Amino acid sequence: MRCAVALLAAGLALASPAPAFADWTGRGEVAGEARAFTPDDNALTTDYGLGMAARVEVGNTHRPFQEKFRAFGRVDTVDPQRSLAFIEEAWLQYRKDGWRLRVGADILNWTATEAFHPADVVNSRNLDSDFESLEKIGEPMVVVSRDIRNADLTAIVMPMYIKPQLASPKSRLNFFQGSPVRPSILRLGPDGRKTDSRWFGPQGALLYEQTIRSADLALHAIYHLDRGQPFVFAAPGSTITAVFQTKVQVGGTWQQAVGPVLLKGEAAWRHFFEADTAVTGLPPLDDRDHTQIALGVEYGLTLDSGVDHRFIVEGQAVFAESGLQRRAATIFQRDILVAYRLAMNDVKARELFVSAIFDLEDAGELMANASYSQRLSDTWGISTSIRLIEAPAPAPGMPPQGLQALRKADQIRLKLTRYF
Amino acid sequence: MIGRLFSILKIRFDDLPGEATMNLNQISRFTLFGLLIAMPAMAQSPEEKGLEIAIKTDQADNGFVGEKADMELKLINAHGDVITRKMSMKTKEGTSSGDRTIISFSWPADVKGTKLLTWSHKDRDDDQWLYLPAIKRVKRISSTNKSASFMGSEFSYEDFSGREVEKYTYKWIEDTEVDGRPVWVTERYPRESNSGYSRTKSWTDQEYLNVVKVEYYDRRGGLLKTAEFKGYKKIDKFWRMGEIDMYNHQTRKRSVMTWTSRDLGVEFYDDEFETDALQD
Repeated sequence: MRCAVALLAAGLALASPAPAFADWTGRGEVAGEARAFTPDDNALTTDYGLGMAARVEVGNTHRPFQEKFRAFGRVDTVDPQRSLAFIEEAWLQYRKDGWRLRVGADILNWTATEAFHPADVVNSRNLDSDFESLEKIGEPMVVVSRDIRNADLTAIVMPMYIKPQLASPKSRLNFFQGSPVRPSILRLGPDGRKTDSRWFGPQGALLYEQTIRSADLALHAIYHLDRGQPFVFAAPGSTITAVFQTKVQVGGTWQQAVGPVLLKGEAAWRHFFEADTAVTGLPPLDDRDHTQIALGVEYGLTLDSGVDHRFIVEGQAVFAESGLQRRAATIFQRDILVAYRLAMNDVKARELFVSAIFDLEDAGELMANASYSQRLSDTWGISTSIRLIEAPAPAPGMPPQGLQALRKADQIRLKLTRYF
Repeated sequence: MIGRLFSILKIRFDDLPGEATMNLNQISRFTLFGLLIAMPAMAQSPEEKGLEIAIKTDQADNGFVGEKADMELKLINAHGDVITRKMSMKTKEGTSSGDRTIISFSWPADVKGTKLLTWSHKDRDDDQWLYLPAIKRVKRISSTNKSASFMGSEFSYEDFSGREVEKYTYKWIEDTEVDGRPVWVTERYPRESNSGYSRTKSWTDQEYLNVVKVEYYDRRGGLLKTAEFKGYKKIDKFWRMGEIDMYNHQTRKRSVMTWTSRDLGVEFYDDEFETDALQD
């Protein structure tokens, strides 16, 4: 909380014109945010939120060196447990003769699609943010990259892991509703045993990226503590425990422009190291190994007036031995996204985006979203959105699955942003 | 058409003899160049003369190595209200392939840090990637939507994209004068169906080897915009404009692009124009 306030103060201070240092860059934003949910008549949750968020970014380039710092914070006046602050980037880089060495906290964005992101798994997330694009938390890492003519080979070592930010117990976006406190986090190492150390052995990844004519292809292999959807364990009489397991993932992304059409794809195969139930006291965990594939197509049409219409269709499927395994893997198992973006391309940068995600496996699950944004001036912007979630009620006596946990958590949001 | 503004491809005939291998495309260009040199001795059709002028102006820009510039774009509506946009541009001249360009937007504040990377190509659509700093994501975008407005101005992305000679056909109209300076008047017709224009009509200064005025005609053939190119200065051996004044006849809005600083001959690193460098 104190960190978040400090960050907000820094953001406000930087909102004044920045000094013009030749090699320095800086940007940021301070935003007032309000959100309201349909009332759920539950005293344990809050149906609205009101807060401020800030992001600051400063960078300095003096080849072959470069440094960057970027941090984000939010203060919620209604639910203080929702307040947070974290570093997104804080790194030093050396780049010369096709080699790149980067040391420090960073965010990696391994994604090609808009809604489903099987390949994009490195960073921890703030689980109280947008499902389709969760806020990422910087992960300390050492990155060595070699540029080989339109291709990059990158090796990454992550010596420690950063905890995911679980939603506030009062949040309507909390997947663990019913618990008055945040779940405790249990981390399982590759031996299946609990580990308390944040210095979690070496996590690591290899990434190969190649541009082939109009296509971008990336392949990766990663060994790390998975911080996607946790296994949830509720022992009688105790608090809920979110169990995160070590895993190996092999996958990739693909983007290709074919005329006005963009083709996109992501895939990942995941193997989770089994829990040692004898030592941890956990019940036998379900086998969570699975393959996840997302494909998408985006078509853009620009009129003579400059107005841009964009149509997006994406589909995702999770392949595993059982429906239970698929649900354990992700909120979205077999889904279709249909979206439309209207960009006026005018001085106000007015933009409308509507989307709907239909669950093909669990009939009746639907998430619809509509948002509008525009510039108010050169430094102020406003955005508003509405989100509807439809999901059937959980079976009697059964815990909610996937979107069932967020059933009827429809929300409307308003954000007023001062950029600097 | 708008001079060396952003990413612009060039036919580099002077590169050809030095190439270790010469593909069929290069041979045909070399042959074409030979024919064009011999053309004055023969009767030229308006189309041949138009192509000759296009190649001559295109070649005049060869050898700039790299260009770095800061620009201001003023958007002026029919009531005279003015809004200012700012950006910077880096272009690395291509050798065997096309130029590579990064445009970094710096104003208004909400687009600060947004970057557009373009790899121009002579024989196919350009490759383009957009970096969105808010979500720290590099996204490939289709380069065929060229008629979209550039930053809400009367310029379109097409006005700033490559002017590869091969992607158009030409026609010479007449030789005349503008402000007492001799110019060629030519028309250019896009070969690509995704152009926002049916044709452009250009007035090219015979000394600057750059346009001083261009009329843009929409897909239905109506006059859409007129651009005037002003403030030419010679930097080394290259003539460069200082301002483009674009007037949209249909919306009655104007946009004025002004260069606030410009350096030529800048030696950029290759890796500055890779997609991973956008996030730096």
